[in-house]
Amino acid sequence: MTAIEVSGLVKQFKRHRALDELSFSVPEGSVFGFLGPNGAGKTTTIRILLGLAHADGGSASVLGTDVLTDPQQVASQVGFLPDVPSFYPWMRADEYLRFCASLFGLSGTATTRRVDLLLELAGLQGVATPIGGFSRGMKQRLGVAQAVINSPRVLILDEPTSALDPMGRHDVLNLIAALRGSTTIFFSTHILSDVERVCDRVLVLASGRAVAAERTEVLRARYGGSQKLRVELVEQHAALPEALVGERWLTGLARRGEAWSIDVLDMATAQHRLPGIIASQGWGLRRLEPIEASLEDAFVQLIQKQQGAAS
Amino acid sequence: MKGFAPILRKEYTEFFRTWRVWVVGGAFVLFGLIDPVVAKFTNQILSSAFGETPLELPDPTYLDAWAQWSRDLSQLLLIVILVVAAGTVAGEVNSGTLIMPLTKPLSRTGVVLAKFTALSSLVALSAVISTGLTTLVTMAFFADVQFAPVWRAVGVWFVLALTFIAATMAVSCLVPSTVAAFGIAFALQALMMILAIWQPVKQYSLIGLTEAVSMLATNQDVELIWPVATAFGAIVVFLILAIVVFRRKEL
Repeated sequence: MTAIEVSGLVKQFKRHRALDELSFSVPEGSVFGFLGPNGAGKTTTIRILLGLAHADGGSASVLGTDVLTDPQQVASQVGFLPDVPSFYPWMRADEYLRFCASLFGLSGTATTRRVDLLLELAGLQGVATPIGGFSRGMKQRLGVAQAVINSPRVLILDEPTSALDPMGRHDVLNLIAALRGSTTIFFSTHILSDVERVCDRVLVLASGRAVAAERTEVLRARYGGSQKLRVELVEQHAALPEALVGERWLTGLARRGEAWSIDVLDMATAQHRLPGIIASQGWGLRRLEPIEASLEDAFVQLIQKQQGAAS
Repeated sequence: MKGFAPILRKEYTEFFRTWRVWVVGGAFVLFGLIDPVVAKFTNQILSSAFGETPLELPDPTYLDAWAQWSRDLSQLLLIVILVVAAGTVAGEVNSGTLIMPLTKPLSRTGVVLAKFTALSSLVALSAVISTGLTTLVTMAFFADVQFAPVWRAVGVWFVLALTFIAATMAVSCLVPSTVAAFGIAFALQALMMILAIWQPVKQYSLIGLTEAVSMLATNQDVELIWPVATAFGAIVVFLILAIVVFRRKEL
């Protein structure tokens, strides 16, 4: 089943078209990375999905319910964490979670147990300080806790780690990873390492349009640029470029400290031919390994391609 | 109207845990306590300030205390209410505190009506407590005190206060800042005072409520049907406006 379905979504802010016929779908149970540079339209899409903003065209549904006509039904099955969550500063963490539970009509001992469990998961059990005195990391962890108070089928996270220090990021990503399997997670971010760590599917958004939507490893392989080999010789030999002249599988070569980074067209041929060439020169081979393309490479290439097409 | 009760509870708790209880409660109690004292000693205060004057002032009665209290209710304390009402929606929209609750099953109509109910009931409570206090102090300073005029005046003043709460909340939904909302609401109050110069408007609309409050406090007869009826009509219109605007608002 599809958790989120967006079709031809349009949002216009005066002369600026924030979303331009955006279409995508998020399979149920996936951890879906919603990736894009600042201003690409990520938050606008999320605001429409949550009923906080109106679309100027197109349709969007969550778990089969149209977000534009029945936002209340959508809200009952969704959890949401904004990039910078704002709480009532005079409330305590447990009071805020109980307040959120009451908005879902939840009360009683089961809710008290749920609140206690979430406070423990967020590392906020026994914290009596009002939320106004919390650090950013504490607020973000409480934000995750309030987002899952109703055990949502779909969890929408808008750049949940962008304002955090490394420890705060680590904690929040661990909380997200703990939800994998039980909840569909729609995770908007521009931090690529976070996506690589937790997401199994990725959509890249640029100028309000979807420019790629793939499984993370497929995206890396398809758009990650040329294939690369890392070569380390027993001793430094500056003559390696001359030794490789005329090899058709070779597209580029660069020195990276002790090693060489070699761009190849045909990985199998390169791996077969290279040890022989090195041996024929009388050199020793210490290491020969393929370098996996990063999501960052894929992201940069996609955005550059989109910008090139736009100009 | 999903979420009405949780938001109402939250509004009550917020009132008693933040500056609101001190500003609203404090102002009502303070004026409630000092107004009868000011009425009792007005002549002495004037004499000490300006020396002996040829003007012979009559001895004050409990009606002067009621008049002083009704003036403060209709002017200073109404401004205190405007300050609080101006931030009800605009303040939360600005600070972003409504974002997470509104992504839960909470209707925007419920938010507006819960905020209106909470503020109205807290103003009513403050008015009852402070009028009770002013009654006690008045009884301590004056003889043969009759309570009916002041309570009738406070009843009509509450209708005026509800009108201003509804109007200010509508403005608070319309404009993006608390200060702007207060400014517009204050301008509306000033406009009401200016329009009150025109007798037909005062007689047949809610504009006449302010004068009605002071006349009732001093035990004079007032025709209340048109001012009260139009005030209730205005409350309904302002609330509908607030709900419609807030439902369309992008957050």
